[in-house]
Amino acid sequence: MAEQMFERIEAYLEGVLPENERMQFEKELQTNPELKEEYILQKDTHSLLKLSAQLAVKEKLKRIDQEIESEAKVVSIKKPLWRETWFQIAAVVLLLLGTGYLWMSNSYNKDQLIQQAFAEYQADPFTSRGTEDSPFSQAMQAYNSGNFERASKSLQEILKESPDNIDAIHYLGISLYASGNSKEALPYLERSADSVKHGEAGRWIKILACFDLEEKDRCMHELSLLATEEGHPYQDNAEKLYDRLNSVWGKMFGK
Amino acid sequence: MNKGNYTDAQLISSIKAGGNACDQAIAWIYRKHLDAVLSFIMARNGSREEAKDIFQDAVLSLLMSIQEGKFEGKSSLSTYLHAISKNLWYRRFRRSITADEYKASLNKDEIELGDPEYLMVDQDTEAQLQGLMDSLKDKCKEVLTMWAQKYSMKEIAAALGYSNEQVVRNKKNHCLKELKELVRKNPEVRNLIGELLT
Repeated sequence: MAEQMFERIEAYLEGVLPENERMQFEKELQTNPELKEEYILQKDTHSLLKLSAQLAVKEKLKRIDQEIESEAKVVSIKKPLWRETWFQIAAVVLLLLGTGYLWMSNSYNKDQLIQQAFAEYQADPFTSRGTEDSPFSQAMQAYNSGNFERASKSLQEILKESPDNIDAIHYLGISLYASGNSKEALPYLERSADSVKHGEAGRWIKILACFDLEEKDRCMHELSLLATEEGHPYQDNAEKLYDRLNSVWGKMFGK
Repeated sequence: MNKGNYTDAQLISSIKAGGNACDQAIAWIYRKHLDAVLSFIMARNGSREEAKDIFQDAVLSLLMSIQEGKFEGKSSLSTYLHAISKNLWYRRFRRSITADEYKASLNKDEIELGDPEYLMVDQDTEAQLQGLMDSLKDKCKEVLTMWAQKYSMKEIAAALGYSNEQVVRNKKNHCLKELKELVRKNPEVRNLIGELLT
């Protein structure tokens, strides 16, 4: 008897009683005090569990937080080489000289422009959160001083231990690209572009890498999509590059 | 829908679905908004720990609002979450923040929302609740807690090593009966519930 009552009340609380049975149940609640008492008790038990579920969610959030903390062992870095003003000026001067001399050479022009776009790439801001000696901070020191090949090697080691470390994935993608290995860089840049944390930067560098790997038209298409995406942090960079590449190629083909 | 971009509509339906889909949506929201809220609170003399605590409570409130159908879509989820975070910050630091400072910190969309409502479980209640749940035997706590978070019978079976959904269903009912008896014998627990839920 008690068993049937339990199951009936449970079905009512879960909303799975058919309409006529539901109405029957509600009528009985009015007339059967024993049923009513059991119903209230069972309902309170459900409520208790709801509260308990909230606490469980809070525990989950703390665990997510711990994951984030352990992923982000980074150090504050000094400005990377390509953000040094002298380097950028040198790059622009070379570009201007290069543009004059290499007007007839399509792909070399394109490379100069893309390198310049990469030179303007603003690295994500960091805060100092971890130990100076951790493998990741050592990798980032190499990255920071422009030693991309060493950075790539170190980051690859780190990924063997923690294959889902999104910071390592992101900076490995960039390091490989910066050391001229766009093909190897691509899978990492794709994962970075899909991530929440580095999605925006990842997508930008992925587009730059595209120009080494694919048909120019496809890459220009991706670039134009980014250039028109309001609010994207790299929208302006994309727009600038798109216009410059267009004018280079446009002139080349007499458009 | 693992690490890509969620629209608000997708987030809401994942959260309402409960279980693993909800977990992924929660993790995404957490990662997306953590830095912004932390910066806000830490720039106003909150410690990192205090800021995280507030943010976690805000995410929890957001979840509950959505699951109980209280989020009406008058603003984006992002605005709503930030509004709750700022409101919690104000309430917790009331001694050092003036009402004017609080109002000045809100943007236009957040002001339009008005004061968010939510339900906070205090530490005492939490302790009593945990005590009760811990006294259940034989994985009942795990089964019931997962069921209460709306994991499907299939997800619970997979997570806890039960062979099929029917086994889980029977286990859940058995455990629920046990908990019901505990509640019957501990009337003071029912007072806790009465105070918190309307």
